[in-house]
Amino acid sequence: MKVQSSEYLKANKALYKELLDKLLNTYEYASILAADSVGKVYSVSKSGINMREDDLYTQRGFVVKVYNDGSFAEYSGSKISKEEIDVIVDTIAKRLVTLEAKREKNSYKVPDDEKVSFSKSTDYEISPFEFGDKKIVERITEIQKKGLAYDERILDFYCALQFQKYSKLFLSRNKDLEQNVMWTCGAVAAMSLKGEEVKQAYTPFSVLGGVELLDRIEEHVEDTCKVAIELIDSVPLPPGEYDCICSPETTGMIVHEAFGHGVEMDMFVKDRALAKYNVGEYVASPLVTMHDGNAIDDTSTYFFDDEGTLSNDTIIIDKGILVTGMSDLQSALALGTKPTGNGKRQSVERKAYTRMTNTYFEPGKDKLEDMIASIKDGLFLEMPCSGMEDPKNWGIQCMVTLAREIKDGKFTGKIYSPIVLTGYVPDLLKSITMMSDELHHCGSGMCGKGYKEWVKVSDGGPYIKARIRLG
Amino acid sequence: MERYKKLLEQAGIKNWFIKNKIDSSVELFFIKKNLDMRRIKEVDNAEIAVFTDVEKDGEKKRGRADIRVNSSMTDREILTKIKEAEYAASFATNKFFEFPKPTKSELKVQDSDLNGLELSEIATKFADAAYSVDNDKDAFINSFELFVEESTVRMMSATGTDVAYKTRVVKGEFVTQCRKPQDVETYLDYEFDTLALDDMKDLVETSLKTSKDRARANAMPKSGKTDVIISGRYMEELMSFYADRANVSFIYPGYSNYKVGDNVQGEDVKGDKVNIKFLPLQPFNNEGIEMKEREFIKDGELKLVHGNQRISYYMGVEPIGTYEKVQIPAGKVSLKEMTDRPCLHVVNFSDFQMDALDGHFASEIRLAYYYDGKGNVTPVTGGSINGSIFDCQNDLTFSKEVQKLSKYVGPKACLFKNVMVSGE
Repeated sequence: MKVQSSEYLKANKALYKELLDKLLNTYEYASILAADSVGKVYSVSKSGINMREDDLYTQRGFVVKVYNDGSFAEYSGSKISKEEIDVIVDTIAKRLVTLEAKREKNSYKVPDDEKVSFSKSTDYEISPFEFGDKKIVERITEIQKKGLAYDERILDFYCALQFQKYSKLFLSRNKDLEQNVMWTCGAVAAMSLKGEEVKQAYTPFSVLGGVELLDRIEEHVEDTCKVAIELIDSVPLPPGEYDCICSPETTGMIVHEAFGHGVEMDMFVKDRALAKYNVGEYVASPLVTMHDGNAIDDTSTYFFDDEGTLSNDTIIIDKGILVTGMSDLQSALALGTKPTGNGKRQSVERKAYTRMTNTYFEPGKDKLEDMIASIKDGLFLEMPCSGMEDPKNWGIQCMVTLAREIKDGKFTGKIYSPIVLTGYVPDLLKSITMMSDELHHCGSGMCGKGYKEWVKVSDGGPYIKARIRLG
Repeated sequence: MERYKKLLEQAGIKNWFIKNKIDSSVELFFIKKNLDMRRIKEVDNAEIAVFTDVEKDGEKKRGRADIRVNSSMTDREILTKIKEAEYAASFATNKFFEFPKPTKSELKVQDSDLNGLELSEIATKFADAAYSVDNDKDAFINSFELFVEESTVRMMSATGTDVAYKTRVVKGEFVTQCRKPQDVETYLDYEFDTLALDDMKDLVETSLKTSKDRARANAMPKSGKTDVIISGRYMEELMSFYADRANVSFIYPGYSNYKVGDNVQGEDVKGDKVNIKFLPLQPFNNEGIEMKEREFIKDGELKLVHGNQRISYYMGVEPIGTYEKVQIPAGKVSLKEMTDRPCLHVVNFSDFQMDALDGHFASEIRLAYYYDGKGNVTPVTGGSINGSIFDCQNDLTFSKEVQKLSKYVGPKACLFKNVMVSGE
């Protein structure tokens, strides 16, 4: 089934066009992005049931971008009406483009505005709207009860589901684009107690689609509870360098946090990314090929970005060599490159930045069992919990929940937790000697630029074998 | 606001709560010294909670569903959402709880010298202040983001709550860079609710110095346990541990065993005892509960727990709202005295995190100063710390020097004994 268009955007498209036409009388370039979305969050834990429309996922409004004397300015608003159009045009002319009039500004050429027009929608199997709130709450309540009953050492069990259905309309002099997208994601978390410490095992899920995801969530209740119980006996890891097998989720975190942020090309413009000086160089093992974009379906798949650039499959690393970064419109103008469709906004109320979409390593040819067997003395890293970028120095800061000890190719049963991954990104990527033949990706989380600007992304890859410094 | 109230009444909703927020902002984005983008925002958003009481298996239950609306929506659209929420609330039910006592107040306007100025004027003043100290040839502002925001919030409920407040805030983030001898950068975010132009300048100057020191820093020495001083903005994150553990949402499901009267640092406290007051961030929380200064921990003893109405009701404690801002008195030891011993003073982390669930604090180190106890100090970079507050909270030393941050007023630094540091 195809995701439906927004009745609101359809009904108001003529007004947005009228606003655009008036702006184009004054400004060489102008564009409007209008959005109408609804996103709900459902969760159940010992503390109770929560159900709400989420403030990040539920929005309606628009953002206008104008090009004035070589620089860009934007106005974000909620309401459009016949009466408001002149008020908005007036605000842009008198209060926006005149802001900091005496300040030196970066100068850009007029953006290319290729003629293109379409309306596209993603697919889903089961609509959350048709399935209904009641059934969703019942299903996640059942899952939560199953987790809580798994073992008396499970302190709490949490099950959550969230979805967003969004429609976006992009208008410029030559573009008339509409897209309708729906994603769903979820998670289960099991908590156990180790003295005063609460240990948490967490399994996320996502799909470009609807609540067909619920079946997958249910399948992972036991695995998650088992890990929470194993964590009770975990011990701190002695810091050092280890031969590691990374789970696909851990690979995804390395792809996204350690490397991906460093090839967001607004960082090139600001001279904040070491990657800028390494295009055409080996930055990873020849086994590594990295993509960002729409080649896979996950929560960050779309047809055009928030600046009207069509989405792409961008090959970032090709067999170990850094080929290109990813860019938004303004960064591409500054660098003289072609925008890659990575201009994303937290909402129409926020500025666009270069952001990742679906970012992953291609799978290799190895079998996971051979990879584990090849480790003489090392660790298996799983359940990533957080990460932070350092594009300037390619420093790694990622955390995973646990590491399983491997000796002579076999798991010993010993568990270490929590684990901090540190070191230098190219050292880690160049140390990759094996990659499994399967690709897993997940887009359950949100990605920030620094500590704000939250957008949906996905990441993933195969199991990888690498040498990693752990703390 | 009145429109939403009327529609709720028209839909026959007996119990509801509305929070309406009108935001305007002026936003400036700089790369080096040049303005790269300017923005204006004028938006409104409202959250409406719809409650439904039901009886299931002889037990009284109360359900809740929250929707979001704004001025772009027609009455028909809003009514449809309200009716859907009413239905959803009939099965998204929890154990019965009472609503907060209703509060009423005229519009409370934050007392600030930001008032009386246009948002654009404030933006210009802060940008001028930041760039007035950007004069070093080696270290400079790489990029700077400035948001001047005005928010007017009004909350109403079916039970009689009707409160409103207006705030202005200047916030954002910036990056300073030093190219020689190593090319490094320092990231800082900031938030002010006054025309704190000198504080803005100080922050930029401190960040420029951090970048210069990091540029000449050595690699972190090999791993081991050492005394660690954590300072600056990381104190805010670190000390949030106690407020998180004392939140009813942590206590009710058993994540925290805190009880009023407990000594949160344990019985054998060798170092400074923890003293914390709660301060309000806004006049009212999201349920309309009035927020005010409260004694939270006195000489290590927990004086109260905090959190939302529902869970507070279940636990039989006074619902006082969730507090995020803390005030801690100055310590007795100066930062200079702290560094008379061998220790590592970390001034810049990549992403310092305090996990209130398991008590671990950890991060990669961007810049630290290693003091050898003999008067020698070496800037170092790289490696990471990984400590547990459960292991070291009985021997804390707070600094005499104090600082004022958006959610923290108190000692500038705290010394922790025997923290694991991993290096080269």
